[in-house]
Amino acid sequence: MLLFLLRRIGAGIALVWVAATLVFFLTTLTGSDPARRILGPQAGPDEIAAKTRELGLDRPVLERYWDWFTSALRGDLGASWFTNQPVSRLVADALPVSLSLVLAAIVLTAAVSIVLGVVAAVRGGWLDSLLQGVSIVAFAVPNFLIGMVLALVFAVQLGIFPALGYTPFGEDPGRWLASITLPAVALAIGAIATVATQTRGSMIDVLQQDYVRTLRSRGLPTRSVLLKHALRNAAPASLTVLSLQFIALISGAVVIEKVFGLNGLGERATAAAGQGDVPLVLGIVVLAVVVVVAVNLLLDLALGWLNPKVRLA
Amino acid sequence: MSVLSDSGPAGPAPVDAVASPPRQGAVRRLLRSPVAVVALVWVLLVALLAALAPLLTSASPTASQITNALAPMGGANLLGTDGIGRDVLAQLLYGARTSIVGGVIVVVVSLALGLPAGIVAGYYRGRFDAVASWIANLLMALPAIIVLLVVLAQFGRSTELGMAVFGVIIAPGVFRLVRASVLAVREELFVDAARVSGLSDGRIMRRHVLPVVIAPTVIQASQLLGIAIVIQAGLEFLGLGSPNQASWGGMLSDAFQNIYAEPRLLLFPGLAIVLTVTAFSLLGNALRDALGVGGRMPRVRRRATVVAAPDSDVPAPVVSEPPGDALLAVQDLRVSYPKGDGSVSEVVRGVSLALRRGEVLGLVGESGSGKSQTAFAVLGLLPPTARTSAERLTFDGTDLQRLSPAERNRLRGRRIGYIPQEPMSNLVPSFRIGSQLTEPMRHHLGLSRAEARRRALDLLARVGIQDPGRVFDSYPHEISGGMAQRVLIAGAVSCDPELLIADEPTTALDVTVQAEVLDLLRSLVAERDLGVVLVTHDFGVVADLCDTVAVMQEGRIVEEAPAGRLFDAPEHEYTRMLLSSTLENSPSRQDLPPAVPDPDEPEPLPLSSSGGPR
Amino acid sequence: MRRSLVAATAASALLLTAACGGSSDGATGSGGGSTDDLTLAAITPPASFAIGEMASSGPEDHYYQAVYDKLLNLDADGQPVPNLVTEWSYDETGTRLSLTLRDDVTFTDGAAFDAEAVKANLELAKTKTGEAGSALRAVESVEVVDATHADIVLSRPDPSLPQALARSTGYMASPDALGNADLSTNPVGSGPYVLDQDATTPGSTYAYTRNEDYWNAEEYPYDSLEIRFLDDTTATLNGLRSGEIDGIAVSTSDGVSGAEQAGLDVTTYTSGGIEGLYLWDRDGALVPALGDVRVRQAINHAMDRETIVDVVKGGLGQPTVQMFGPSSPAYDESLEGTYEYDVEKAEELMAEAGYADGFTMSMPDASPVAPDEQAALTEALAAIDITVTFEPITGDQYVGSIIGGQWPVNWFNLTTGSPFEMIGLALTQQSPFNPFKTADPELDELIARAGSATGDEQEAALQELNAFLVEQAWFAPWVAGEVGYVTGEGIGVEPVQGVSVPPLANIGPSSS
Repeated sequence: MLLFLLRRIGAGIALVWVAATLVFFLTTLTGSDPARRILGPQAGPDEIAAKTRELGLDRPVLERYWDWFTSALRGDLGASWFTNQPVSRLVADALPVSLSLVLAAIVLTAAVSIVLGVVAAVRGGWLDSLLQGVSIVAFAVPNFLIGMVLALVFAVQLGIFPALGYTPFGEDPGRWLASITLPAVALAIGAIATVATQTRGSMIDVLQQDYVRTLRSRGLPTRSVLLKHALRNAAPASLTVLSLQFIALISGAVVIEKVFGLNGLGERATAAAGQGDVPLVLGIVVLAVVVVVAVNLLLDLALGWLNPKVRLA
Repeated sequence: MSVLSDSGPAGPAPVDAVASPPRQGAVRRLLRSPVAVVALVWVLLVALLAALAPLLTSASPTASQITNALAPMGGANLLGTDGIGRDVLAQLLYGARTSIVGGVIVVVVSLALGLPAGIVAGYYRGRFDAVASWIANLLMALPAIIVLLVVLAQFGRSTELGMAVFGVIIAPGVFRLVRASVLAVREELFVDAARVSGLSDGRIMRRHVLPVVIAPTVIQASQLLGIAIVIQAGLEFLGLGSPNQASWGGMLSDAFQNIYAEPRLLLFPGLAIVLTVTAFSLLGNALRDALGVGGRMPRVRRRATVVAAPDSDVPAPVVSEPPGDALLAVQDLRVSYPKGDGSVSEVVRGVSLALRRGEVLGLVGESGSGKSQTAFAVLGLLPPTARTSAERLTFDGTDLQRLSPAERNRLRGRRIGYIPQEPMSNLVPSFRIGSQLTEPMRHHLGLSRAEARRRALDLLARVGIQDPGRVFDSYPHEISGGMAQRVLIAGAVSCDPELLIADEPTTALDVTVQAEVLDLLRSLVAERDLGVVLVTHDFGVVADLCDTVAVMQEGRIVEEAPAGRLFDAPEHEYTRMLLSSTLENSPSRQDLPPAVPDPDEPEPLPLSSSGGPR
Repeated sequence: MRRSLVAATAASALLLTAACGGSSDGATGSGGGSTDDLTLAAITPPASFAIGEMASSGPEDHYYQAVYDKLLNLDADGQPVPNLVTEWSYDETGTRLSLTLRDDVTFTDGAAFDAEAVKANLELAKTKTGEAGSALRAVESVEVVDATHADIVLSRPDPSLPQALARSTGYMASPDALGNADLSTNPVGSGPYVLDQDATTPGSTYAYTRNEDYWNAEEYPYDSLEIRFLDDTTATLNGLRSGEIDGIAVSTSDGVSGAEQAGLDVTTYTSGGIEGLYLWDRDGALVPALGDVRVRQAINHAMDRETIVDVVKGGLGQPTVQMFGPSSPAYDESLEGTYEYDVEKAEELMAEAGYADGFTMSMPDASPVAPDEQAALTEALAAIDITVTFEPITGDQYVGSIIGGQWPVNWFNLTTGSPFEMIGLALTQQSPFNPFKTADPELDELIARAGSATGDEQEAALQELNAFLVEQAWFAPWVAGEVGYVTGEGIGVEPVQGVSVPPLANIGPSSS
């Protein structure tokens, strides 16, 4: 178990390193001129040269890479080229926004998907057909379109939720929830479509298993058969899909943050990538991959707990 | 309404060995589904409109006429113009081009990478597999959007580049699918056989591997097209699409700017995206059904075993009025399933049985003779689509047909026990044996956790398990099949039932274990005065255990007699046929080979080791 | 659509119960008319609050104006007026600018605003690479005369300095804080507001509270100010509609029309930008034809400025042939008739110059940022048989390649705050936007005269210089750009001509 954890964490660190290295060299591939971008059109050549020196861009790429890598190992991700603020601070400020959004969306997805998937699998009939139909359509609607419609209806027209902005949890939990409700719903709908379909499928598979009939032959209450035994056996497949959705939600959040004017990691990533703010881009990549690695690790632990046949070794 | 309704064939249908159906006819099967046809027509229509865009409209999708901004529908601009005076229809048509081309790029790139890599990794395994799988895992852990943002910021905004990069990011999905398919087929015998017979790898690939890979790949490609269009719209919304190129995502983004003035602008690109992506999804699903891959068995598939044979062919069953003290009395039981075409297939056709306490009734017949269906009708565990009727179906004087599902559930486990056929698949894999044993006892008998545990340990010891404590704490996969069957028997008798229904309780076991389990059953019957309905195809088991035997064929009982008499003087031709084939093939895991015996068959051999007639 | 609405409604209903606790006050925001708080949006976050590092005056100016007071202010026409500096004057050589300072101002850390503070700020800013560094290039030193008097000593006459001191160059931070490493994120100034670090989320939301000691508080009616970084137009429009946002600057015709269609108030004003074809190669180094003034004039005649402004710019801006906007002292109304749209005249000029059949030249591809503009200029040049081949280039290399003299001509938009800034950027041999170092003795003489003269004499010299540029067709501008400021209900704004974002003090409750 410990060995398993250590190995997975080791693999995760390797993954973070490979991803960051990949992105580092990607950003140096084209001959862009960050100093010019930072200083704007009016700057003179000597100012550009000075800035280039200040950023250390006059040094060989490998040397810059080594510098970044060694300071990153010490936990220093450098400072943004454009705002001069430490990357760790910029990322830490944006993280709660994105994390709130993605976590709310994933919780919503899990809860709604399980209910819908189980009901569809068990009830069948028109309800099942409806769920499948709605899932396919819901999957097909771009999330930003959903977000925009939600904003127009619930924020601009009805004024129930804010149309934009994020309130930190610590400031006012009620307003925090209100500020992430619409974005989380917009983000979750596509994921719900996918996960509910998967849950329905694996529930149906499980319900066809011999042991379900045997459980029923023992006269156990239906609720126990369905929610304790069947669901637990259907859970690994759903969880796996859910964890894949988590990664997809991180991507989706970038778009949704824009619709709702949330200054999260996505907004920051878009701006940083657009400007060529290499330290900030790298910081975001590192954080995103760390989150993904952590989620996958949690998934493995959960799968191990759900399915005793999977040995964590 | 049953709660466990419509969950497919929950009945004891033996798992159909759905061999991959012949591919010819797949297209025809696809075209039989109206949904698939509509989806296909829509996709083709979009592709056609995209290809013919220049012929269909003279307007340029990108030329803007500020003076003609937000023109209403009709007139020169059939669908009006957008916020800076571009023709909406032209944008829609040229946007379809962008979407289709983008989708194709994703599919081509991801297949180009994933397909060969998946085949090689799955077929040769080894180092390449390890490296490729590692790369796939790496790609899957990268948040796609960040890679896209970085690449597009570096190399300039371009829908095509974005889609190509997305193709790379999504390629692990193709890789994994293909690899899994190839791995599966690789393990199959025919590949090994093909190898042994000296075929080259290339020929094995062509003849055996590729055919298995094509179907799932085609399905996935259809779904990828849909995903690509959604992702592409997102990129265009973020302003990362090609400049000066009409696109549905870009149209949506522009429509947002004018959302207050002209909300209708949202409608066309929104509909175009939703309908097209939906069409690709539906097409993917329809393809899955048509190709019969990776899916569950189609819902309607039932065992249409016995389709009404003329009554006159079958001799009248030996039916006597059940005695008054019967524990179980069944008269004229009929079970039928509706078929897809509206007709009904009857699988149990007027069965009558009677059973006293302490009596073991063997229900014998070939696979599909309706014996298991009869047993499940008694248990009330037929799939919800089954229609059951009986003149009489009483347990200890109680009319089972008049009980509510909940009342019937209270009988099950408590007064009627059930021993299934396959020990391993009948224990819940994710719960310990102990909890599976104690849960019914706590539920039915109201025992405390400790009492239930003590009783379960006693039971485990009683069914002959050496180390009850260890088994109690084990997961099903940690014990042997024989032990699992003992556990299931312990479970069946845990609440002191009066009636035991055993469905081929020894079929899945080794011969020596079989004998032990039969001994156990016999002693339990004697000890607890149980009535037992023993469903089997194995006359050895019948001879070992049964007092009375009923032989079933095509949903009817053709002969019923005390065990001894049946063996000595089988009356019915079918019984004789069964007897002779059993004696010739010693008990096997397989059901009997159906159909008429070979006339050239040798004389019956002496009885098998599972015991002779008493 | 309907499906998604239904699905959306259903899904929100699920969250509604959970969220109703704090939801009702979430959307109310700062309503119109109230002077409690003001919430503005900006399309960029502030780069840095450090003196000398603040980005060029633009959308992010509000962040800085809130905490830093400026030496001078701008009036509605963009001319300098007193603020922290109450009087200013040049000596007769134009190389010494004497400032008289207010004596009643202290910084929020208690330090006094005095001549020493001015010296410390300006001399620090001069060493930096920001906008202020460029603007202070001519400054040799700052001499402290007494607490309320300082002299700026120049190495050469620089008449644009007062303009600069009314923009980001004039921001004053506490002299005690200038050495702070965290000045870039933790400003200490004497402005109308103080940055509330606790309520601020860097890169996202900047919260300010009133500076109770501010000397000119009545100009700032709001008790608190919040500036949000929002770069999505539609999200901002939603915010303005729902009352969560009170104002934002928009720079594109799409943005202006979108806001107008959303029923919001849009105030438009000149941005100080001059857009059009910049004819760099007046010496004919890359394209000999451009060395002939008749060819350059022909290009000017070939442009249908009215239509371009209508169609390409959505009517946002004024058609012009001059490099100085209508609010500039160098502007001369009478010059506008110089280049009527006249393709025949243009063809005649081309023929006279010996290019009846036209010629070919290459230009950087500007279509990623200005597709319609590029289409318009291609069409105009094609009309006089000038064929353009567009070379692909990435956005960040566009400006550098211009300065490097890679293109004879290209589409461009140069924004300046004063005629002298334009001169410095584009008209002298040292100017970055004079890539071929074109020189003309007459122009140099006019530049010198404008630099040393004052008052009406200076204005006359500038107009003469302008007339020279128009006649010699150094450029082929087509529009003096305009931008807009969008305000929500109950909010009014008074713009300053030639400045891309109205000063904070000019945004307040609307009188209507």
